[in-house]
Amino acid sequence: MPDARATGTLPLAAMYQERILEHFRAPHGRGLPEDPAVRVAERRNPLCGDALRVGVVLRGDVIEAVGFDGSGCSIATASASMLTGTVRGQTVAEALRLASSVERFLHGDAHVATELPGDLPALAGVARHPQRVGCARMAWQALTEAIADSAEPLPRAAAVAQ
Amino acid sequence: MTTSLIAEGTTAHASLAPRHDFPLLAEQPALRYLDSAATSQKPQVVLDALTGFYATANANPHRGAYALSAAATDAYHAARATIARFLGAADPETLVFTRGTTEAMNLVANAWGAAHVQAGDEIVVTALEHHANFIPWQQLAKRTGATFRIVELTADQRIDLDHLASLLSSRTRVVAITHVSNAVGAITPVHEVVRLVRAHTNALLVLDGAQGAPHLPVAFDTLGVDFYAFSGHKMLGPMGIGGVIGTRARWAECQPWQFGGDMIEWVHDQDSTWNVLPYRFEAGTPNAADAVGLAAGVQYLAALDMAAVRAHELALLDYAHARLADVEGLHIFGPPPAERSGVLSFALADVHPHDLATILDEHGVCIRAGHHCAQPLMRRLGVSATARASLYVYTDARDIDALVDALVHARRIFGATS
Repeated sequence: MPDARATGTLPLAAMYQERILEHFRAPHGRGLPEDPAVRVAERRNPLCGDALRVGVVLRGDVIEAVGFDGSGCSIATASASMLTGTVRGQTVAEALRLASSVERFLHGDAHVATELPGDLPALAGVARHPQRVGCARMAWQALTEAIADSAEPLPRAAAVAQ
Repeated sequence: MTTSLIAEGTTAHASLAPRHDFPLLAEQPALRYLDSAATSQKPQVVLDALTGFYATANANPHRGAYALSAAATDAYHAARATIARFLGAADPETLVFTRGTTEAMNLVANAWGAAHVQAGDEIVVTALEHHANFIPWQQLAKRTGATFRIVELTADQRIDLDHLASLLSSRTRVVAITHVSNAVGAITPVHEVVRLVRAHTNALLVLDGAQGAPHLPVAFDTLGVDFYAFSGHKMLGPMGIGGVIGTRARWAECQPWQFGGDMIEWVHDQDSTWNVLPYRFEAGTPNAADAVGLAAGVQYLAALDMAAVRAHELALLDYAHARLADVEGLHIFGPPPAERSGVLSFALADVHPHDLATILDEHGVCIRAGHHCAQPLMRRLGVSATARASLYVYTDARDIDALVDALVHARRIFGATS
């Protein structure tokens, strides 16, 4: 009877932790910063057609404001929500370093967990669902693109197709 | 709690084909495979036919002047005849093998389209199409300067026949329509479409049978369309084999589109002449082994009887609808079961289809979450993706029950409120 698996769902419990569901239900940083200098990058997940944009406003090399919009599953949304909470106030170098740690973490490098601030360790369960890693990466990849080339402001991406 | 229901359901809705005929399902008794619209599981007879070809008849068909090559050629020809007969085509040579529906549509768009479509012409598809029956025509229109027109849908995702009729004119050169929607299961009223297209145009009428041939009886010779494409792997056959059946008259209008071995009559220094149908459109070493495998698959389906396959899926759909009515916040896309193939495409409140698929996977329930290669349809539904459970001959009530239990669990996890 299938319910036997459901009651013993350790991997599921690990992936859909209450922490993640909270971020999904009430995400932080929803909406791109309303600032003419906002730098926006978009990532699409071709598997499901989801699209997510991350916008940052830099003051010098410090991320002064950050936000996201678009449609995504619980994992994509929670990851984006956590991103906005952790990189605000960081320098570009710090944020890029964090993005790379998250990347390693999502690909199963559990040692990185201790370096991750805030609720990010709650994403640990995602690593056990390889087909969902792409969902969690979207926001971090968009952030990296948005801040990677700090010299040139990126053009504002076209409206996300729903 | 649901034990009695399941037991009752199992008696009422056993599978049509025994699960133990399918090695993968026999090996994994707890697996609830509900993704047959993506690809079907394969019965032992298909695996045996594949192995049998390689073990007893493996040589390059049409090549060697030795008995083994003749055996390979015979097996390949016999497979063509079997599959053509299954799809109601009396003339096996009007069936051209391809890798599947995608290659078949590219074949027709290139072999017929490139020679017959020009600027000012119109190509008509529907908003229901799989990308495989959308992009080849979209790109043909772009290359030739033809106008690309899209038939819109009714509120329950059926083809809007009035809109189709309004788009047809003497300028219409191609009408390419799905037999059954892969994304929501809507069954196209083919006779009505044929009547409209023939009454208003001289257009080429192409049917995408990727989801039709596996689930409904198909009689090509009485269908009235010019080409009918299908994929073997969705109808118990191996991956990498499928084909397209056409009328002799339409094949005669086609130009070769891939060049190489087997498809030529004679190669001169500066030009070449072509082999006859069907070989003219089958360049290179044919996929004889997979054709033999698919022939075993359609013989298995024929023994089940395609009318019984349809009746089985319809009964399961009705059962699923009754059980899913208990799942709060569930919306099923597409027309009612009577006008739908064995597809349940749905949304559960505001739970993302990817999240649903992951939770269902933990219950051993395999469904597809995504845009189903039908992004034009997703745009019209106003979603980026749907969750899709799809049925076949080995599906039974236990599969549906597991789906319902898993959906209830998903609702609990997400505390969905709507």
